Amino acid sequence: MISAKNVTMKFDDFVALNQLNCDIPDSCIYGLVGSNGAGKSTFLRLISGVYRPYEGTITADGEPVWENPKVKSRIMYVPDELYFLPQSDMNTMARLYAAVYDSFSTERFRELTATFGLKPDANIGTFSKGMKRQAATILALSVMPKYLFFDETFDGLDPVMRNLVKQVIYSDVCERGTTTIITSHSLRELEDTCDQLALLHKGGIVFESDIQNLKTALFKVQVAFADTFGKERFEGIETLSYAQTGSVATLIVRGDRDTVTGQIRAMQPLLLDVLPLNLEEVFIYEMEALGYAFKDIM
Amino acid sequence: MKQFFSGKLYLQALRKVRTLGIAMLICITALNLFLPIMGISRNYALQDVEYVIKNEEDIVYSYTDMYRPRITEIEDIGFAPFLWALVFFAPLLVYVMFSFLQERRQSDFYHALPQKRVCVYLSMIAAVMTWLAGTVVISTLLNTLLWSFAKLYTFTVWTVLGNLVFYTVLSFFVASFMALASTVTGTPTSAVLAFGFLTLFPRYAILLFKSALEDMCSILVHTRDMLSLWSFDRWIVTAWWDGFAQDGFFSDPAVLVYSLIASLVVFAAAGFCYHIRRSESAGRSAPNAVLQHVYRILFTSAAAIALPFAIIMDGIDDYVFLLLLLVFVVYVLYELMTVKKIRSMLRSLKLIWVPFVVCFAFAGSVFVANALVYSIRPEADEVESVAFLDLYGNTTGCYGERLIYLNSCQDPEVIALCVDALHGVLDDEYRHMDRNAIDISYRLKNGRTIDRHLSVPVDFWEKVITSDALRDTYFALPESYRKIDITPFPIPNDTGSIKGQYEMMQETVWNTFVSEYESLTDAEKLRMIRYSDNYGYRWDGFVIRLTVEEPSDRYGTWEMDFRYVLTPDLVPRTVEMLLSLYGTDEEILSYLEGLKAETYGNTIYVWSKSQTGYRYISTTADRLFRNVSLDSHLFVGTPNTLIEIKGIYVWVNLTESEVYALYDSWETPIDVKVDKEIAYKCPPEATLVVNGG
Repeated sequence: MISAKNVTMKFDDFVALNQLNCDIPDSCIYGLVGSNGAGKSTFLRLISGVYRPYEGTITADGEPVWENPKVKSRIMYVPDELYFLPQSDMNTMARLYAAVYDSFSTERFRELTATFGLKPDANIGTFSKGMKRQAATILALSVMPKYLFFDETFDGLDPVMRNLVKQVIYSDVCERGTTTIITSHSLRELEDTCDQLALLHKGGIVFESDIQNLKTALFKVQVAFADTFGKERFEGIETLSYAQTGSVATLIVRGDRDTVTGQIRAMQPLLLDVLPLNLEEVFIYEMEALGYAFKDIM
Repeated sequence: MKQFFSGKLYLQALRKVRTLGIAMLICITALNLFLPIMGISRNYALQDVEYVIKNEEDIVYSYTDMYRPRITEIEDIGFAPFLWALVFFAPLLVYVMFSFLQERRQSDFYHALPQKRVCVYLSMIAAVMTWLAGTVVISTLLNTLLWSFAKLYTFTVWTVLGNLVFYTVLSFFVASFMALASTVTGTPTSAVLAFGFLTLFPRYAILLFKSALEDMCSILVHTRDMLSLWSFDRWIVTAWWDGFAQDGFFSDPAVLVYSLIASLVVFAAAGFCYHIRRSESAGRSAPNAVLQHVYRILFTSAAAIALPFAIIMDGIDDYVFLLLLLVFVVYVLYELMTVKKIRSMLRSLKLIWVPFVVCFAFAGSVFVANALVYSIRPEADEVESVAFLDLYGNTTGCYGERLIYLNSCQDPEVIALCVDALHGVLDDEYRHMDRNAIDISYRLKNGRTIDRHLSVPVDFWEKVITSDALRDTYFALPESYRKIDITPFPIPNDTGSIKGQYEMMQETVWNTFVSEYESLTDAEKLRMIRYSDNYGYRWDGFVIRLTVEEPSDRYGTWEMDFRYVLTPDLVPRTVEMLLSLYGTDEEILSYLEGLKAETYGNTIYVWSKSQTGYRYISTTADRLFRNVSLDSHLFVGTPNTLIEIKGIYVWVNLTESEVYALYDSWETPIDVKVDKEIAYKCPPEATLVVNGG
């Protein structure tokens, strides 16, 4: 498990992370979403041992990450700005990784380059942006790390490759129990990928939840009654948002879908429609409930 | 061990800079190989190679004909000179190795590797050192092999070792500063500027401080000893072309040891900075805003301290205002070059006053040091001994005077004289007197030694040498000598049969001189000594030049040369003996004839009188004897040309065309003054010419 306790990171006067706390369980895909400058990349660099926190502690499996080769050997970080040795090909990079990571699997490297259809002896400098990202992903997965961190990893990948990368990550998580953290500024990107999601804003995690719970816990209800009614009719139902146009009311409700549906159906509505929310809508309403204006965050 | 060094990472680091490393190796090695290859090809282009090799013993240290091959001992700096290019390659190699510190994505990559920082640093530095030392070793060994094949060149094992040690230390030294510069900065520009600053500033600042202090403090002995390891004279970087390396790489071992230790210390400092460095510094000129101010101010200080220095040396002159402007420009430019933002530059101006504080601090330190020097005023009872310093290698003066310089004196009378002289100078008592400068070292009873350059009354030295303690020393003659040279009977350079006769003759002359000198009164001895002191200005007698080795309580064994001019009024028997030994004209001719057969490979030096003075010609013996019949010119008419043949000087009368026949076609005659030392017995007319000239 990766654990961050009261982590603060500053760049001169700018506070990138402020007293951040989070626990990332093993064998999950953890999505970290936030606007530019929210602190996502900084957080990844901190938990990769690239940065040393100004305050607080970051541990992996209970051991500090900073200046701890034993822990860092279990971590693989794929940054948003990729770096490869000048004039190198993937084989060269693989040799470098094999030299510094004992867990590097040449077999897996060969298997993945074949899967992605990349030439391991071609100069990486000649690769497109997407191909470079694939190359970085292949190298990272070949290290067979316990912790795998991707910073804006789907940027520059076409939909096919994006799905392929996701598939490979899924299989790594399923087969080896890899804990993966993926950052993105796009919620949709993470919606169908992550098990857990956290929203980072101004250097702190403002919201963190299990995606499945998130999606099922909130839903939209459209309801109409023959008589005149108002919000007070729905007392007893946890309503995050309420809007009424004429005799039709739209509610965003938290709770068990069947129970809530039963409660409303008992009021004998003319119309009752229960609709699922997409992740972005869920976030909007959850943020509003927490007092944040979502549009300011994302 | 794994915590500090990773073999795998080391190999990767070697690979990382292999392009530059191989280019460096090829460039340096190829250029170095060029020299012995040229030497080998020259051997085969020349004739008589075998002759020279067979007669190496005779030829190697003698004058040789430039047109003939000769055995040449390769000096250290000529052995593989292009290794000096490591001064440029070494920092470049370090810069490339640690270039990841200048860019964030690279920095992230390397800092994410599962290694401790110290392990990454040491593995990379080891790789740099391997490339540098490897280049030195490979290039030196290849040159050793090739120079061995170049028959007419010799070298010693010390030359090979010297090359290995000197260039390895040199490359480590410059590399270490780049390592430090790379780890304390975060952009290429700031790294290069920091490298320049770290490399040059300490010596530059010390040079200015010393010069300013020496200019201000007239009683301070001008010596290279003060902080000399940090002077440019003893900087390993420039030693190759302007320093000790000219005399051999091991000629100043202290510099080698210092440079090695300094480079290890700086490497260690760079390692520490790398360890504590924040990864986010990559891409920023300084790790944080405060250090950016510090770097800018330090860099500007280089220009700033020139300001008080100029004022101390020359007063407030026009160019002082230019320096003032320079300080401002450097300050602004540094910020613009490293941060590249006008707004940041404008913000930085709030600290523009700090470099001027540095100016005052520099000037203040010079004034404080000056005051400290003047505040030291020992009393006679505090002084254990005094010694007279000869800082400029003065070789004139008599043997006894040299003895006084070589040894310290504990005599209370002499100490009191020297202390009075110091007090007189400190109290400015001698302002209106005729004065001479003298350097005196005072060893105090508390173990401290102070050296002072004093401007004392002209009779000070006479009081010293006529003191009871020093009088006998001053008038002493050496009991033995290592070499004696009596003009006009110098010992020839060769090992011919005449050498033994000369030595016997010179010994006889010396013994006669000693017995006559001992019988002189002190006043007469003093007259002779003064006469000899002024020898450089006049000549009307024979001269004895001696080389003596003396033990010294201050310098160990010391070799010194001095001379006595022999005049008939003081040492008549010696002069008479020399005149009788001189021989007849026929004997000289006979001797010269004998020399003809021995002049193979010799250079002949000729001074020919011209309208403006004397023309100096270096010619060959073959050319001389082919064009000039000496027996028909010797002692005929008014001598106008002085010829040196194997250490013997002969006046002859040559026509203008004969003089020109001695020139090589390419040689341009140089007008010189005839050094009167080289004149020896010649016809009376010639004597007049020499004395009058």
